[in-house]
Amino acid sequence: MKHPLYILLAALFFFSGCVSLNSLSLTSIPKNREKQVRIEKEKFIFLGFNFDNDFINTASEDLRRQCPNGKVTGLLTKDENINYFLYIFWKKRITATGFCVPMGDLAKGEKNRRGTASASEEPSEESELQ
Amino acid sequence: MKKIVFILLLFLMTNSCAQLYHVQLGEVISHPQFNSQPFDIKVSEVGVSLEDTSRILEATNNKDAAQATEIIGLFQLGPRTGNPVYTKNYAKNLQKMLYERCPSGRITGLMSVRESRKYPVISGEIVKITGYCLVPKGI
Repeated sequence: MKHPLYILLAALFFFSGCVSLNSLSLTSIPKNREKQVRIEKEKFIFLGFNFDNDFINTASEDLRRQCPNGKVTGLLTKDENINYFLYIFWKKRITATGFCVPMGDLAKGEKNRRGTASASEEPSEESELQ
Repeated sequence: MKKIVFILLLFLMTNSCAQLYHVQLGEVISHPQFNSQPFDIKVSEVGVSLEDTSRILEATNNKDAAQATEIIGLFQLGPRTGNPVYTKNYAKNLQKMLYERCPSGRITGLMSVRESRKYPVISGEIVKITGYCLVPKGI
C-alpha cells in the first residue's frame, strides 16, 4: 500500500509544473483572420544559470518568414516562466500568435476605409507602406 | 588546486547572469518591393543592488554600514524589474534613436526587450529594441 502512495506523491512532485505569466501584449486584430502564424521560443534554465537571452532574437524573423508578402498583425505575445521543480529546473517561454494578412487584402481594406474602392480597380500593395 | 579554485571563482564573478523581464513584438510587414534592413538599439544603465552590498558589508564585519545600507534599501521598496538605477531618463531617447536608424519611418518587426545582466553588487539594466527598416528596392 505504501509503495503506490510514494510513487503517486513523487509523480505529483515531479510532474506538476507551475506557470507564471510575466508579461502580455496585443496588437490590433485584423478582419481577415484566415491564416494564423505562431512562434514559440523557449530556454531551459538550470539553477538560474542563464548567460544570455539570445533565444528570442530570431522571433521577428521567424514571423516574417511565415508571412511572406503580408502583414502579421493581431499579435499576442506571452512571456511565461514554467517551473518544473523548486525553480531548480525551469523554462522561459515566449509565445507569439497572430494573423497573416496578405498585402492585397490590406490594400483593399485601406481603400474601403477611405471610401474610394471600386469594383474595377485593382488593389495597390503600396497603400499600406506609403 | 588553488589555481582551479581561482579560475572557477573568476568564471563565477565575471560571468553575468541574464534575466529577461519583458518582451513585446510588434506587427511584421514583408513586402516584395522593399528590402528589410535589420537594426538594433540598446540603452543601458548601471543598477546597484543594496541587498548584495549589505551582505558583503556584513561579511566584512562592517555591521553599521550594512545596517545603513538596509535602511536606504527601505526607500527603494516597491514593484520593479531589476535593480534600481540612479538616472531616470536613460531610456528617454529611444524613439528619437529609432527614427535616426530608420529616417523613412517604415519600421516593422519591432521587438522591445527589457532585460538585465547581473554581476556581484552591480547590474546592467538594459532596454533593447530590434526591428527592420523597409527600404525600397534599388536604392
